[in-house]
Amino acid sequence: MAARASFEEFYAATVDRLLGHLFLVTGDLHAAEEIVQEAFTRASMRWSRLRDYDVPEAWVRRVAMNLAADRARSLRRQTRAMVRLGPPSAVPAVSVETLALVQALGSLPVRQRQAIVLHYLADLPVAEIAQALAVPIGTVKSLLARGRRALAAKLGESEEVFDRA
Amino acid sequence: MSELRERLREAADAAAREGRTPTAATVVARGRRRRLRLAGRTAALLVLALVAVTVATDRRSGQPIPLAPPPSTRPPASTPAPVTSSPPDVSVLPDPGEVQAPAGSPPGKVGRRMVDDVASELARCQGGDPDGPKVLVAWGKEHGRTWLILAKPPRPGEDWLCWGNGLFEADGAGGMGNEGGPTSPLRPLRASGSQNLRSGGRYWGQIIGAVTKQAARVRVQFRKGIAPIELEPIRTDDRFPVNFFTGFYPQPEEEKHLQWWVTKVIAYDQAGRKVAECQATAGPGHSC
Repeated sequence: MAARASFEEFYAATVDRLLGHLFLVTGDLHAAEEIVQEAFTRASMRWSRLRDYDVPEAWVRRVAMNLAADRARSLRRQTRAMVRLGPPSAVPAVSVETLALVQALGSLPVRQRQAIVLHYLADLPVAEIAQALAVPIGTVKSLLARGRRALAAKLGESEEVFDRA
Repeated sequence: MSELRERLREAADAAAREGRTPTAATVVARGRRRRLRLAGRTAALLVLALVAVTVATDRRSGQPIPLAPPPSTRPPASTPAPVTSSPPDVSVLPDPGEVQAPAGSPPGKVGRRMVDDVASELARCQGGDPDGPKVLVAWGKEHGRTWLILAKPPRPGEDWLCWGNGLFEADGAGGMGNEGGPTSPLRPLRASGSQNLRSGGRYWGQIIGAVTKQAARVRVQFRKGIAPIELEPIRTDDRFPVNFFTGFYPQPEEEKHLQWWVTKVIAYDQAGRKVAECQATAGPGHSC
């Protein structure tokens, strides 16, 4: 991001990317939209400070990931959050294979989802993922390994298919 | 790169393409309003603290107690009320737009926020006049919670209906959702719900749905020996093609983790004839 970009420029350059990431973490497009809106609203309130950061997007991403984790936790607390038995989650039009992947991803614990998305999609190294999720590096490695294994098992594919570089 | 990466990217790109995000200006305006609100709250707290300190100081200094009414009948907390009401009450959710509440709405600021929250959620549903009103069809209080149903009158030619519902605790925390939209054509009977609502030392479930206007009553059947319930539809005006219904049922205490208690919902007309039926399947995310 160019130094001291306006909030509008920053928003235009990053909102779609972040929405894609959050959709994969939440598995629900509407929830992702809400979380991304909220994260950017908070960023706009602190923009005078954030604009001097090297990577303001990292701050917004971290806020959004925390909100997604909060949401997952509150959904688990069924008594308080009143899990809805409504229509299925909103999902964009994608191929059957990708839809299966989204569904499989949605069945993983939220931390594994976050680690996979940050590693494979945001291209973050393990150390930065650890920083973003506020967990030790070893935990990130374990989250990634378990996540990959679980995804491969759920999709009936070998783990090597996912690991192929 | 890896196949996993490619597939993730496909899904993320599709979400970015189809997702709806507000303009940067909207986000900035929302942030500004929230800052104002926070500033207002801080100011109100400061005034409260100031009043409390002043009252305490007056008492300690041995000054005569003010004339009637006695201090005990006028708690300091009520003094700064005009100040707390001055900052704008702005929701962080999308603009709910115009909301009509022909039958009144839940009282107070918290009640108004519940209505706005569901109206905002409803605004996401594609249907009805985008500039038209959202109508608070009905609301009620049961088991310490407030439920609400809002709907948007459909436009001519739309064979679907956008409606939303919410279930909130007394402090305004809760859940909400919207239903309908172009991919969800009207059916004579539709139901969904919530479960595991703790109240009075036990768990309760809620069922909520839309039903044809032919129906005079809706019968809900459950698993696990829960007694069936019969609900009278909530009548809507001519702007809406369906009526709504909602009700609560007690869940067996030891089975609180089961996700969906309803097995079947049946609608009967005035003469007792079955006019619609839907069968529920077990598991999370299912409706009837």
